[in-house]
Amino acid sequence: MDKHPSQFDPQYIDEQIAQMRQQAESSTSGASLIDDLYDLHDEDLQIRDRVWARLSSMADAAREQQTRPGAGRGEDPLNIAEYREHIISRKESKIMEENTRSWGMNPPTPITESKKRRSSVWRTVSIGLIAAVALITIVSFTVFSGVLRPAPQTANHTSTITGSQNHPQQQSQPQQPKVISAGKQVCSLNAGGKVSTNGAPWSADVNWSSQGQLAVTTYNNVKVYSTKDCKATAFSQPQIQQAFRPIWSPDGSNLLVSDGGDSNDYLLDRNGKIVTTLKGNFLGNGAWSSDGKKIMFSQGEGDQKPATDSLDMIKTFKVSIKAVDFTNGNKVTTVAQLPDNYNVQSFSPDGRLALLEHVDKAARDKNNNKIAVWDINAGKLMTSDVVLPDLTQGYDAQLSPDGSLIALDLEGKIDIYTTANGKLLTSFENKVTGEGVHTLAWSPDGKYLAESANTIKIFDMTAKKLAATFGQVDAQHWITTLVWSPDGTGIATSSMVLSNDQPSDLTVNVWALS
Amino acid sequence: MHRLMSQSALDNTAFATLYQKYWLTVLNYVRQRVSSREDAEDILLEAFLAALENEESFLRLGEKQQLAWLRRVALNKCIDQHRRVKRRPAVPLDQTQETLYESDDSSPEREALRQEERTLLRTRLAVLPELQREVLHLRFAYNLPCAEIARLLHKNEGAIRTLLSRSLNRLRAIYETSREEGHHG
Repeated sequence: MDKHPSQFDPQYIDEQIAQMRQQAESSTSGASLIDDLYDLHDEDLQIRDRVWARLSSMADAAREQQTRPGAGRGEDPLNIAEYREHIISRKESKIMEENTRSWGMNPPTPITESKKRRSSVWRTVSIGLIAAVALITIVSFTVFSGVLRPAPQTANHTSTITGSQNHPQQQSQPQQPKVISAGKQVCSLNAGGKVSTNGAPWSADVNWSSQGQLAVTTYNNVKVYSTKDCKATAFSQPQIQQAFRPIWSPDGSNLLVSDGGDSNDYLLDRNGKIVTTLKGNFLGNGAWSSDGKKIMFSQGEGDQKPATDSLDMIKTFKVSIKAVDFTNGNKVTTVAQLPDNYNVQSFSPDGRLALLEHVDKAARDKNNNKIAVWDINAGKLMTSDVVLPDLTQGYDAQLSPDGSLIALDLEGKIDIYTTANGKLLTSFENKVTGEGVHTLAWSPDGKYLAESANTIKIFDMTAKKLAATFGQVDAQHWITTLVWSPDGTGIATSSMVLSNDQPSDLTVNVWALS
Repeated sequence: MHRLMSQSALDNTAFATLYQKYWLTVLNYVRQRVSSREDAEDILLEAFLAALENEESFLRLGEKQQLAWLRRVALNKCIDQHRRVKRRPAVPLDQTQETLYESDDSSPEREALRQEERTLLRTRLAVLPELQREVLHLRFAYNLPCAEIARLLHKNEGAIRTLLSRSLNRLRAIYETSREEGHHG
């Protein structure tokens, strides 16, 4: 028994689950929980499939009767009730299983009837049914998500983007237009066909480097394209599958990619060669340090963390911000020890700030979060204990680059709060038709906030108004990713179709702002 | 491929879509009311069978009405089930045969404790808020990483990570309490 179990931590929850699943035999409380959760959910899926197979069996029997010669009009509704005899309770079926030792894939047939029929025929029919059920349920599951298909946008190679290509070896300084009022498509690319795993499609993630290169990760590969014309570069495709969360180093010389398949993080050089592998996805939502030499991540201090999250039992816990140095043998150092009971929610893209939650029962009881901003270079809190609505209830929440504001993407609106005192600075109306991912992204200079859903909107934070709307996709599509160029002159998005039964491609678009 | 394998009269129908949409909600609803997995499965079947028998009118209902209708039918079936159990008490088969002696290395006491933990976990899962249940379902039924869950549920990835870790930390308390009691008891 683990007397001091470590806390499940948002930063590397996926990795903790994977690790505990491998330790199922260890009988720690965490490993037992994970093992049981997998078992129980697997049980649910089996129930889902069995019930559907039983419903299908009855419907088929009714259909067969209906189409039999002399059975009356073929247009009549199926008389399912007549075939209730095809139902046998699960309990009875278990008894049959015990009796015959051959239930396995057999359909739910009453005992009396099963004696009359040859089991091999039933087995064949049942296998077909169950296979069909499994397939349809997997396909139908994508109701949650959507299937990927190219957005109906034609590539336009006429516009260009300034700035980003002309800053070799340096992180470009923000040079975005003084006033943004429009976005124009520069080019478009097809990032490949849809791949669904466990009934859910992987969409494309994108990240724009200071060298003007666009990294695009999909289930099948990692590719790099020019943001000028969307043409693939000479970047070799590393053998990384189920890739996601690409992050360029500030100077664009390295690319960090996570692999959902083997749960590793990979550091690639500018040519796509794997420089180093970090096992266990422990970086989570980590970010490059502002000097571009390290990746920062957060880690709890062993048994100092709360034993449970019930909060009425909470003990003091400590979290550190750490950094792994790729230039020094992947050495891990502690960057900062956070005050007690503060946990890292996210890092700013430039690696200078961390958004913290001060875990507080009173705030959570009121569906609020007590948040703080940590200045990583200064090694101290910039703001502290500001009460905001529960960040988990909205579509997205993003800290501004200077840490002074936080944007919350909520139903029908985007609220901007100040992190110094938690005051609502402004609220933008944001009516969106349809249901899909909402993404927020601050411009590098923090003067604009971009939001994507089924269209791209740019909000002017100085004038406190909507500055531009462009890139609307049709009713079948949705924009799943949005990133700014490091110099603030452009935006890249990826989109996919929302329908659950169409084969499709992933589309990435590059937009110039003016 | 899909068409070749789709042989049932129900495949590719509006009813199939509705089944996929509501099965988990109805199953969770039933599980809050009956303890046996097999009874829950039978009641789930009965509820959807009733919908299938009244397919035409069922499909005309709005989304909320459809779910309310399924819950109502399921509740009636649960009540029937409780009446039957009162008359003829039974121990769920899965509790007696599938789990008690799963491993030769495990003592009956140990297995009984694990079964108790699992049952309590099931109970706690059934009463979790809808969003938490959905996140756990996507994580453990489909093994999706947080990034994908966030996309599917149209949420921020950090929010999903926080939600999932909170849920797991709360659920783990079941095991810690149970083992502390076992240790001291």
